[in-house]
Amino acid sequence: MFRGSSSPLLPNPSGLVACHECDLLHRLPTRKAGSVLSCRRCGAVLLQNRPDSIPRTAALTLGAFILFAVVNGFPLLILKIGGRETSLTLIEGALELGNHGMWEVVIVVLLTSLVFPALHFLVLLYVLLPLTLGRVPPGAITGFKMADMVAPWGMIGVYLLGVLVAVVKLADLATVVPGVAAYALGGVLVLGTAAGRALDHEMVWNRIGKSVSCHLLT
Amino acid sequence: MPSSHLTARASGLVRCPTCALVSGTRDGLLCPRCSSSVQRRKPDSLQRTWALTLSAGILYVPANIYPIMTVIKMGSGEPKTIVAGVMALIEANMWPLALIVFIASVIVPLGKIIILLYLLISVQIGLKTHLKERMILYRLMETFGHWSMVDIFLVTMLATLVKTGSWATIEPGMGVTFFGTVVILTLLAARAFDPRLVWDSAHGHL
Ligand SMILES: [Zn+2]
Ligand SMILES: [Zn+2]
Repeated sequence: MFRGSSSPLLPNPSGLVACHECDLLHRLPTRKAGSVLSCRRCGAVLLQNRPDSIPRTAALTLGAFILFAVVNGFPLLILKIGGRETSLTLIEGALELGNHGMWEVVIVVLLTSLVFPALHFLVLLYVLLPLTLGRVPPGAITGFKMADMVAPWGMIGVYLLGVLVAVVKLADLATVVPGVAAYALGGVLVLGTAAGRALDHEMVWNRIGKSVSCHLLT
Repeated sequence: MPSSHLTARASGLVRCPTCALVSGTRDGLLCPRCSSSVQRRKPDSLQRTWALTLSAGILYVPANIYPIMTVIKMGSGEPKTIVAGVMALIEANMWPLALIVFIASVIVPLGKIIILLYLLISVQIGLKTHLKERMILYRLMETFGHWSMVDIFLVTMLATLVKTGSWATIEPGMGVTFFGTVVILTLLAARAFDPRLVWDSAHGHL
């Protein structure tokens, strides 16, 4: 199956893809822009080749990161009652349960709503921005691994649903309006999701990964 | 050209869990492209998934017995559990909201625990049918699993907004900690489960 004699250095010399959900082997197709490869047996999406994946993902991630900075500087919810206004920012919301001694909840909320999403955007930018200029930044492998590791633990979409529920739930007690940060968070969700869709992992690994000689494969 | 049902494992190959490179690297050694440790299957997947799922199932009881928050209006208020919170929303005729909270806080965590138990048992008895259906359940669980966190976020926001007002106070309850732990445990359980075992066991290779 593999000819190891000439041992050319290639990013992915096996020419194979294995399904992450059922382990079935597939031939790596010739990479056509916009093509999606699904598993023959279980239907899982194996590869999605997006046009201009790297610059597009970098631009969308940059937008998401800037908006996320806005989220953290403005109130998320504003409560009006009897001429008085109370507002809350994302960080204040996360820290409040510390006053009730529930520090483990504070940590989980801080990580999922703030630290992991911010880290994800930052590390992705660190890897992708130099790549758009044709340079591989130092530590790109570690960085890209970290981005993938924290991605499933960022819960901005869920947090935004919480904001909407809070607005409706408090409606009979007081007037609650979403603040600037709530709209910005909606923007982060849209741009972040689009960035995730645009990202072609195989292409990035081909650029930043170590070259693999064929004889390592058999 | 790989034959129609040849898996990486059956060919002596392994897919890197990080960069997806298919190579002949031995288990426990490093991927030649990204230097991550490779394993043909997630190590001790079944034991770890069982342990995490059962822990989540056990903690689901206190998560629903202890109140998630207490709304104190005019100096009085009674602690509310998750289910009581949904009931209160229904009584207040807030149907869409009641439905969202019910799905996120009751259906999603319970559904996840049930799906995990079904996947675990079906793999262990070597069930040969419903392979695609089981993959759909697995993907459902992966996609919607984290939505149950909405209750935790909601309580933190409500408690912060309504804390000093003379008209009302919202106090978080012990249920938040238990419920948060259940959500985290189900997320970890779903990650610990290796879906390739569904196919391995159906073909007698477990
Ligand atoms: Zn498959
Ligand atoms: Zn790798």
